[in-house]
Amino acid sequence: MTEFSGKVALITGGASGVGRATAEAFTRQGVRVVVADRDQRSGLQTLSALEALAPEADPRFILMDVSAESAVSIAITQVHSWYGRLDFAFNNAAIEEPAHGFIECGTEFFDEIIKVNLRGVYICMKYELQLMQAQSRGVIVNTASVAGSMGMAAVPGYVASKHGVLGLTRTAALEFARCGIRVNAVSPGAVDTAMFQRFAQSNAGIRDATINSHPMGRLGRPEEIASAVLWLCSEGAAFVTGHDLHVDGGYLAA
Amino acid sequence: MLKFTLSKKLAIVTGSTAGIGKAIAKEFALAGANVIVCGRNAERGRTTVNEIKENAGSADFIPVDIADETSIRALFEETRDRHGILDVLVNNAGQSQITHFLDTSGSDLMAACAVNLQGPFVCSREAIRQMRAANKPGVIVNISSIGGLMPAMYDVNQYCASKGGLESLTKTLAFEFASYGIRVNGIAPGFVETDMVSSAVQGPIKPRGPIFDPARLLLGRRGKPEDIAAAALFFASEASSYVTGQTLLVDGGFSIG
Repeated sequence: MTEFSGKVALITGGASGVGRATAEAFTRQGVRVVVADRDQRSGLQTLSALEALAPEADPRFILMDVSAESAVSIAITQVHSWYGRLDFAFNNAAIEEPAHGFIECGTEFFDEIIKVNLRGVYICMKYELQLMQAQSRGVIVNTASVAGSMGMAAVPGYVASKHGVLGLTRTAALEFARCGIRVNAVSPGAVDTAMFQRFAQSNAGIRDATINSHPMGRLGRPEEIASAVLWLCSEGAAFVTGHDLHVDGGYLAA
Repeated sequence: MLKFTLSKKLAIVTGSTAGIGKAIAKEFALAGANVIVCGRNAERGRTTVNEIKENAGSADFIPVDIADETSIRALFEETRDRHGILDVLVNNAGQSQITHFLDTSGSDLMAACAVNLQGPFVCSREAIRQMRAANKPGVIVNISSIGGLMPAMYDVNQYCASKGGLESLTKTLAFEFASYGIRVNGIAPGFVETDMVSSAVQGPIKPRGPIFDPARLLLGRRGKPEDIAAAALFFASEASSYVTGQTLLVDGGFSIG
């Protein structure tokens, strides 16, 4: 038994990378996890892995694209009908941007990345907050990024979307604090995931340059982001809201 | 298991004879650390050690005057001689005084800095000296204040200036020593109910400022020492292994209001 036993968590983008690591960390603590992702194959693989992690695990997978409001609405309704509660929501689903350049990004790609990374977070939060407000209880953690607090050349869409995620985080924290809901963000630096591998392939030399810009001299591991998310969801963080927790190997302190 | 364990770790917590420091010392001991309780008040220090031992924890009291560099060197030498090389340092000892700015002298400012900035500076130096000599990773946690980041209260300008300096120290030490496996992070408490705060607010000058406005207590309560202790445990443990140079605001949302 832990403080997390029996609680329910929804993780968007939960089928890979940081989302999956967090799903595993939650499951080990007795949390019942709903993995929401637009990748059916990875989602079902993750589901099997979670079931094998703990005998009392009660995970589910929902095929869901955060750009589709109706899918999100259905998903939250589904979570409520399965478990009758939602304790933690980790809005983590996002896409990366190749390091193409401010002008080369183009309006079409810009719209797409904002649609997933920012509008998608708004949509998820909207439905989560409705449910949590009715419970007078809940914790939301949004995946921002170090790119949410500083400029980065060549990836204007990603940077703008992550700055926006911090704005949504602080606004919701302000508005819903008195309803017993805490809203925080986690800002990873570069994490050793498939997303980073894809990004690193977009430009020669980016991998080493990125690693070297982290004072700790290495990429983060997905489980290192997961443990920060877990802490933010824990009772120990009961007096923390509207905060952006950097899990970045010192990147933003440099 | 959540990685919030300090099993077999040696931790020094300054200013741990009362208040936030005492709460941190007890939380660390519960997490399995051997805790060096230190401060000026030996009686309260020994009480804290006994309370920890009654809970099956491990602790020792070593006296220190945090404004005195020689006293700090002695603390670190005695800790090393008795217990070994430390894993964790929590720079928690602090002082505050409420004085109208126009009546505040340069030596009032330096008195605040001696405890709130020089203390952590010298303690961090001695901790890192030992960690580097032993080629050992380690963690430093600086307890600063919301006042070191933004205006929260009037008539404590010297306190806030000293805490602002501590904020900077968190980042520069994190940056400089990251590659040696030494992590340095800070915690900025908002309004936390402690004896130090109560006696300061019962003094001759009526405390005023946004931190006292009930509308800024977004979560409907003030902070408790346990809120800070939980954050300190997160930073001291391997759960924060990729976190350095960060100040965690434990302020009930004051800073976003």
